This record gives sequence, C-alpha cells and structure tokens, in this order.
Amino acid sequence: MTLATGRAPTNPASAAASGGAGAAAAASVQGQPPEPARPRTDRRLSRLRVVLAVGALLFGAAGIVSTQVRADGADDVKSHSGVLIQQAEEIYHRLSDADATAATIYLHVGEAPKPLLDNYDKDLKAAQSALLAATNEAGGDSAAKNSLDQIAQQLPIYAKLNATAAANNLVGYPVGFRYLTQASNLMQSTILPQAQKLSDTEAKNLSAAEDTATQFPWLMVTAAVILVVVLLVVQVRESRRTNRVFNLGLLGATVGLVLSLLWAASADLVQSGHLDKAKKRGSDQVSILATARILSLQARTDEMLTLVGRGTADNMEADYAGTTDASDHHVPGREELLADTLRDAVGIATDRTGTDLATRASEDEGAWRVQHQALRALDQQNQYQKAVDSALGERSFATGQTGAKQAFDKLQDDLEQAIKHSEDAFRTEAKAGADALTGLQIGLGVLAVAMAGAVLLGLGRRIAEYH
Amino acid sequence: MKTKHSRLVRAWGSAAVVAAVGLTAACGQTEKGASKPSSVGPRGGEGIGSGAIPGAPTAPPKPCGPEATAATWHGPLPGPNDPVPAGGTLDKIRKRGFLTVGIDLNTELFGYDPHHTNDPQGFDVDIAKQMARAIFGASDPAHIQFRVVTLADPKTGEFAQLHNGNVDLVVRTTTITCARMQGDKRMSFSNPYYTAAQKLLMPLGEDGKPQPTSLAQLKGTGKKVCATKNSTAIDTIKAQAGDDAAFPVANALDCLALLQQDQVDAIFTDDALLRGMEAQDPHVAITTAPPVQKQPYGIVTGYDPAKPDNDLTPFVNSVLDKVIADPGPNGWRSLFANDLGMSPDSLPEIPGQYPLG
Repeated sequence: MTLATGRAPTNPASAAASGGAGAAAAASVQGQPPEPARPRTDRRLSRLRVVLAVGALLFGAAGIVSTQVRADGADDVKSHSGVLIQQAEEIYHRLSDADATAATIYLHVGEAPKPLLDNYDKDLKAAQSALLAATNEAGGDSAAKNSLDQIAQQLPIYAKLNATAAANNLVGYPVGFRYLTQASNLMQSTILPQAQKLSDTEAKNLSAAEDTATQFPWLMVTAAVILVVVLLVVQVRESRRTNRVFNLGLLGATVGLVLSLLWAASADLVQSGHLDKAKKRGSDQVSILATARILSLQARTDEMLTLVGRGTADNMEADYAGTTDASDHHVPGREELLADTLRDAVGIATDRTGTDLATRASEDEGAWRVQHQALRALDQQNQYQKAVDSALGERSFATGQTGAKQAFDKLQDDLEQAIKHSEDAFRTEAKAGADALTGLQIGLGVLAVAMAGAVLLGLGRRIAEYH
Repeated sequence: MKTKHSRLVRAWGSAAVVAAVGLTAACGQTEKGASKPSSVGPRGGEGIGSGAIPGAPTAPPKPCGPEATAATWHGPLPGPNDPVPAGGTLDKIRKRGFLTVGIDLNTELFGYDPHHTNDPQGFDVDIAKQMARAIFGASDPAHIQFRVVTLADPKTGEFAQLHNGNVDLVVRTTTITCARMQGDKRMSFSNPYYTAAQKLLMPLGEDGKPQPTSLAQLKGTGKKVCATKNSTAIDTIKAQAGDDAAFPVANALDCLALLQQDQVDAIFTDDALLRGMEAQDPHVAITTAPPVQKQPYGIVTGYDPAKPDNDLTPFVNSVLDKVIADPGPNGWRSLFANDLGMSPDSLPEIPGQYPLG
C-alpha cells in the first residue's frame, strides 16, 4: 500500500517508476510542466495525504511488532529458558551429588554421619523439586518432557537400590556393594545422560531465545526506508511546486521518523549488548562451570567406588584416571577432562572475580588430584584405613593436614561460588536486556500517531490553498 | 579306604579329561553357537570374582595330575627360629618381617571385611594366617598383610599382584587347573585346601526348605540361571539348561542381587560362593540336587622361570599337610567349622586329574 504512494504521480512516464527508486521518481518530477489541472492536483494531494498518514501509522505498527519479537525473546531469556536451563542443571548437579554421597555413605563403618545422610536426602528432594518445576515450565517441549519423564521414572528405582545397599552394608553383607554398583550404574548410564540431554535441549532453547531477542528488526527498517523515501520525494516535489522550502507538516513527520529510528536503534543496541553480556559473562560461564562440577562429582564417585570395591571396582579408577592401551591410544579419564574444563573456564572468564574463582577451582582440582594419588598409593600399600580416612577426611595423615575429602570439598565450594557469580551476572544482564526495551513500543506508537497528524496537518494546509 | 577313594577319583578324573578334550576341540564352534557340546568337562574359572577376558588361550592345556602340585619340603619343616636356605623366598619373607597375601574381600565366609575395618575374615584368610604362623610363629597384623587381588583372566589365570611380586601367595577361592599351571602367565599351586563343587542356588521352596531342582531340570522352563561371565559355569548352564537360560554377569555376587530382585531364577557356581550367598540371605538355599563337578582350590604361589624348583610351594604344601592333620583350634577342621558354620564331610581331595582349564 505504501508502494502505491510512489506511483501516485499522474504522469504515465513517472507512473512506471517503482516506489523504491526514489531518485528516478524525483527526476521524472523535474521534467513535468509546472501547472497541471487544478482539480487533479487537489485530488492527488488528498490521496497522498491519506496514504502518508496511513504509512506513518503502519510504520509505527511495524516498529511495535519488531520490538515485540525482540522483547519476547529477551523475556524468554530472562524467565522461561533461563529458568529451565537452571532447573536442568540443578537436576544434573543434585543427582550427581547424590550418587557421590551414596558411595561416601557406604564407605562409613556402621551408621554414616547425619550430615552426610541429610545431604543425600536433600539432594534427592531438591532433584525432585527441580523435576517438578521443570516439568511445569517445559510445557509443550516434548524432548524436554521425555527426558524429565525418564528421570522421574528411574529415580525411585535408584533410591530403592541404594536403600538395599545400605541395609546390607549395615549388617556387613558384601552383596550390598553389588546394589551400590547397580545404583551407580543406573545413575551414571541411564539417569544422568537424560539429565545431560535435558541440559542440552535447554541450552539450545536458550540460544534460540537469544537469537530471537537480538533478531534484526527487518519489518520496521523496511517500513522506515519506504516511508522516508516517499516523504523525501513528496517534500522535494512540494518545495518545487510551491517555492516554499519546507512543508512543516512533512518535515515534522520526517523528524518523527528519524527520532523513532534513533530511539529504536539505541534501545535495540543496549538490549543486544546486555544479552551478549548475559551470554558471555553468564550462561557460557555457567555452562562450562556446571560441566566441571558434574565431572568433579563423577570423579568423586569413581574415587569412592574404587575404595569400596576392594579390588573389584578397579575399572572405576580407570574411569577416573583414564587409560592408555598398548598402541599408545589414550582415553582421558574424568580427572583429565575436569582439569581441561577448568582451564577452559579460566580462559573464557570475562571479569576479575570470575577469573579468580575459576583459577582457584583449577588449583583446587590439582590439589585434589595430588590427594587422590596419595590415597591410591596408600590403598595399594595395604594402608586401606588411611586411604579411607583421606577419602572421608576423618583424621589427619602423615602426608599432611588435609585429605582427599577436604580437597574435594574446597573444589566444590569454589565451583559453587564461581557458578553463583556467573548466574548473578546472567540474571542482571538478562533483566537489563529485557528492561532496555521498556517504553519503546509506546514511544513508537505515540510518534507514529504524531507523524500521521503532522502529515494530515501539513498537506491539509496545502490542499486548502487550492480552495 | 584311601586307595579305593583315589581310584574312584581317578576314574572320575579320566572321564573328565575325555570330556574336556572333546570340549576344547569343539570350543571354536561352540562360541559361534554352531554346535553344542552334550557334556562339559571340568574347566577352571569359577570361584573368582570378576572376569574380563583379554584374548583367547593360545595352546590347549595338557592334562595334569597330582604330581603337578605335589612338591613338599625336603627334610623337617623349619620352625620360626630354625635356619632356612639363604637367598630363598622364605629367607626373603623373614628378612622383610611379614608375609603378604592376596585375598578377596567380597566373598562372604572365605574372604570379606564386613565392617570395612581392614580386618579380613573367612576361611581363605584363616588358611593364609596359618602360613604366617608357620613362618613367624604369629599371625597378627604385624606379621601378615593382606592385599586384594583379582584374576585378570579366569581361563589362563593371572594375578597381576602375584606376578609383579607384590604378594608372596594368593588364597582366594582359586581352582587348580592345568591351564593355569602351564600358560605364559603360569602360577604354582599347592595341593587342594578345599574341594568346591558347582551347585545350584534357588529361593527356598514353598515349604520353606531347599528345592530339589537340578540344572538339567531347568531346561525348557524359561528360567534364567546366573553365573560369572566367561566362566565354565556359563558353559555348563548352556549345555545342561539351554543357551537361553544362561545369564552372565560381571561378578558372581551380582547374581545374588539379581536373584533378590527376581531378575534371575537361580545361581550356578561353586558351593563355596553359594554358601556365602546363603549367609547373606535367609530366603535362598543350595538345592539338594547332586553337584555337577568338583573344583579343587589351591594356594597360589608365583612361578619364577629362573627358579623352576619354586621353594615356596613345597613349604606351603608341608604346612598345609600339618594344618590338615592338626586336631587343635588352628587345625583345618576347626577353621572350616568356625568359618563355614558346619563340619566338613571329608578332607580336601587330591583328584587323579586336575581340571584342564
């Protein structure tokens, strides 16, 4: 419809010119004789007036729609997807922690200390709450729903296997360890992969939301380009026809258009900037740190199961330390992957605190590895009790004040802090991103109405001159 | 009585060898499922915990009999303060001050540490302690150290800890087989200290008593029978109860956990392990069907190619003879009764032929 405005000139030659080719239209205007029939000009101007006013309103509508798309995306980043990915990571983390804790509980003689038992219960409860919350949030996302279903179905079986393991362990029956192994297998090879899938799905959704939020506002820009071209053409022609330099109404509409564009551009830029930071300072960091935390918990499970297995679970140590076969083919263990991941986390940290926290976690990991190796050596030198003490952190050792437990706990604390730091950054930036568009839609609407008014007034005066 | 018995044993052994050779010949096909052996001879491999098999055995084992484990100490057994040959293994152990023994800690009644306190218990552990007692006159923790060992390959046998010298001997429900005494990673065995038999374990019958079921009776019933993967027990299950019946797992004790969860219906393995399972679950029992095959357990010592006249096995054999004859509290009968909760039916038998493996 806006295009039709470009073809408004009555001359057949200029009627052929397309609406986008403003210069051509202007050139053909130049060649026109100065006085066509008055009534025709009058009618032409009246039509142009309506078309321009409607064009201004349409531009406003396009701006509002474009902004709404971005606002929806930004809101999705802030709430829905952002929340879901945190739930997914909460599920993953809690379940990994529960598994490491179950193995630790098993290693205790008799009844395990209450804080440890509480920790296991807390993990399972938190995982269940997160499952419920994520299920509510997932809505029609069938991939996420499927993963959540799988986890929800397997979790009671897992808890039951661990309970049977604990009951057997309490009376000293070795079969308890087989239940513990079954439980851990179920967790590591069935439940956690589903949690991983959920995390991946949500990471994809978040990145899609980020894309939507920073989508280029094509609709609005296209409308603006057409409108500005038409406005300029009309003004040039009017100024030739009338010897007045400006038509105030048309000029006002042009200024309104420019203001609209400037406002939208700056708000969009600010919003993109925040969302970019939300990704770089927030979600990217959280994702890599969360991966590190999961790896550390799995490595802790390996450490524990190796000890509990008393020689029948040495494959767990291989899982921890990796293997190298005869042809020098190296399969990295979880410890190595963890170290690499933490190094990456240091590498992509964007601020001082983030770098410090990631560096500290990386150092903790090194300290834990040293303790783990000392622990393995103790176990192999028939000093099982000392190895267990190191793993459970119950006494101090000849080798030093701290054992594997203290080193592992410190790593968890620092990872927790680092993740919290990045999550805070994410939340702040995501909120700022969503807020950046506040008022823009109303502003665009008001400006569009004002532009339409200015066009009507400005050309209204011109038409009045004919009467 | 002894002669009559050993003749019987010998007859049993010869039959077994024939069957075992037949099986070995058919082995390649069996694995592809092309043919099923009608009967299975005794091969070793059961009675150990885990069993990942890297590679197949190279050459078929040659039959072996009592002479393979018969070496005894020349002259009177040296007491803790008597001189021993300088430079020998015993001398080395004495100078070190303690004996290191490889055991298992997950086999109830034979080798286990019920409260994770590093205080191993069980029949294997007690037999090992008698060795320390013979060397040092004491078997307290200062004179004997235990390490957990696992067999890398159930068929040919290999205890990494034994072969790299970390332990002096291994007492770990290990069946004496010819293959284990002949392969690249060969080991030396003492005479048997326990005779296991492969039996079936099932839930108690509805009358609360052990069921009379035998492995062969399970054929065609659709019931699952659990055993350690790669073990002879799995081969026997397939042969007697059908291929579909066999349910292989990584560790024999997994079978008990699966039976308790109704995922399998029976467990087939050495009665030594089955007794440990009975001790952990009042609702299961070894069936009253006759045993399928016997598995003599021996004490394992390292084989040093540089010292073919291994000096530890003869010592272990002579100590074992003494312990078996001892009627006192540290004698074989008392230890058996204490650890296994029942008096032995007979002394450990030396078969006319050892399982081929």
